Amino acid sequence: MLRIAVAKGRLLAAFAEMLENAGYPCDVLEKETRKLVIDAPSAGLRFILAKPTDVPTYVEYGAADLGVVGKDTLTEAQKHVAELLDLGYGRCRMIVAVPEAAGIEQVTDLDFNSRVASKYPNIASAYFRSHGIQAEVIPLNGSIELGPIIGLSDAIVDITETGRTLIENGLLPIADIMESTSRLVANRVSLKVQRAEIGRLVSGLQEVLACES
Amino acid sequence: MRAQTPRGVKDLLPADVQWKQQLEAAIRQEFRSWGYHEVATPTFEFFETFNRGQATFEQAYTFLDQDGQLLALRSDLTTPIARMVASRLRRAPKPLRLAYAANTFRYDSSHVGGGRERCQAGAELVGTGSSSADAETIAFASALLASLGVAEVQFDIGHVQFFHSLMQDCHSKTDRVSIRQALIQQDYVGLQRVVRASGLPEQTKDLLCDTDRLRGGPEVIDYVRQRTDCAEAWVALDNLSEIYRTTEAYGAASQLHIDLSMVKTLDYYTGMVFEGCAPQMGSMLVSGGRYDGLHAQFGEDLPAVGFALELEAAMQILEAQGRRPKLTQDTVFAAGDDHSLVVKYAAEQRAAGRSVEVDVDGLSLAEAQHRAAERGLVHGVYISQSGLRTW
Repeated sequence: MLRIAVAKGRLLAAFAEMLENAGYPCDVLEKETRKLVIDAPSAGLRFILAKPTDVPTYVEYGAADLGVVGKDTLTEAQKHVAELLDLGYGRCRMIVAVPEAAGIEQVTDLDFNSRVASKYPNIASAYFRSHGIQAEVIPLNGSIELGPIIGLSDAIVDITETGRTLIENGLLPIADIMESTSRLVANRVSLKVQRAEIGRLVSGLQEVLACES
Repeated sequence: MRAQTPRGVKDLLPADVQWKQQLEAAIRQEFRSWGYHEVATPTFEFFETFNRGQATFEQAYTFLDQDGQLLALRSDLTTPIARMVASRLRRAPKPLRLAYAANTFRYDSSHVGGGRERCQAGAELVGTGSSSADAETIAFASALLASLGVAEVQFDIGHVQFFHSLMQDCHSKTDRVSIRQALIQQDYVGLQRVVRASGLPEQTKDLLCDTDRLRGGPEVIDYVRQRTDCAEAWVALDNLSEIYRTTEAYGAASQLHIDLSMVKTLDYYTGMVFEGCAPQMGSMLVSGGRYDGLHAQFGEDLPAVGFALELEAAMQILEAQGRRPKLTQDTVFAAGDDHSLVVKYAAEQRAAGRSVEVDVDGLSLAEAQHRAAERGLVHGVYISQSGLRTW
């Protein structure tokens, strides 16, 4: 049996559908439940429902063989896991945004006095370092858009799908850092000792992806 | 004063030490059985001994000597042993079989376990480039784990020359670096992207992108051979298949697999590389391979192959299987109304090879029995002028 760590919510439904199409019946995921571990015996899968940011940790420690997690969270977590597949959904961009009124047009306009609020401090710091900007990165856990509004930060680094939340909060994207989609990741040892099972699941999902595109 | 330790280090209590020593004794017995001699290297050395670029610097515990020389705590034993072989053992007849069980120090908190002081047991077979030496190393690593009671280990064998030879057709250094990096990090999504965009021949692109087909049984070697014209890659594959066959001949209990997608972080490997892991543990138990260029850096050109076993990882597996032994107590508690008689008795018993704990608080019989029980000591003796009372 393969153990898969997944985050609850909208993206789980997308993954469940892909699994169904790949021949892994997992209708157990559709039921409303408060359970954190859900078995789909006919598919030979066990789902571990985790917080998105915990998925890479579960997988790194081998508490789960596989995990489904956004590339943004995966990059931020800096965990040693194997990245097997781009699942294509959950697409979003990670951007640097500033208040429209600030008159800042590009990241190089930010200086050493600048403060940047982000849920992704590792990615943000690495990005600014690579651009030679010595900005101070302030880690936050939510409502990043608030940063500039309440005067906590001059800019934010966050993900956006459509850009609507940014516009509603008077923020203007000035740089793209990366694009993110959901990824299938694996524990490095599981990939070795359960190679056949994982390989079968991966090729099943690959076929589904090929049909979709 | 804080009664705390820094991150990544641990105290070992009596039961822990007793268990670890038992495991180390099993390891040393196995060293002996295979004709390996244990050596010890200094806890710290010149940093330059270990220096292999930025990554090592970030992971090294460095500090200054009084004369301003940069020193570092040892981050592995392979490098210091190579230095030792190139200096003090330069004239020793080869091949040399050397082994060690010692603590290593790294700032690396990213790996599972997060230990910064880790006990590694390992071996180096120096002065021979034969495939039989590679096979012995893998079989020895497997035997060492078996001696600890860790069964069901899977060994994956790869070859760094396979990857190097395929990369000869890649003329962009940036691409070569990104492809290697993607394989090290096992970022197979990113790998596809860089490989497809690179100037590599189509055949090689297909080979590298389907990493799943690079892993499996010995059939992988034939599969790959049919899909590359690169002569150097064939040399690596032939070498690997010879090592595989010889290792199999050891009849090792471990499972042997081929993994041609394996690329190591340490750049000193030149040939066969291998990793050992067990299903219950999310991280590697054993890691090793051939490193024919390392000794040359210390002025002595010698082929060599070796491995290191993570003792703490092995202990975690045993513990998860409920195989952690309890502290065994065979000490006798000795008390009495005349301390000099007690001391004399203890000396006799110790001379006969027994373990005795002497009461130093002048306890009565009842108190002594209570104290012994409290300490988990089953046996005791109370000595008085009138005689000896044992329990």
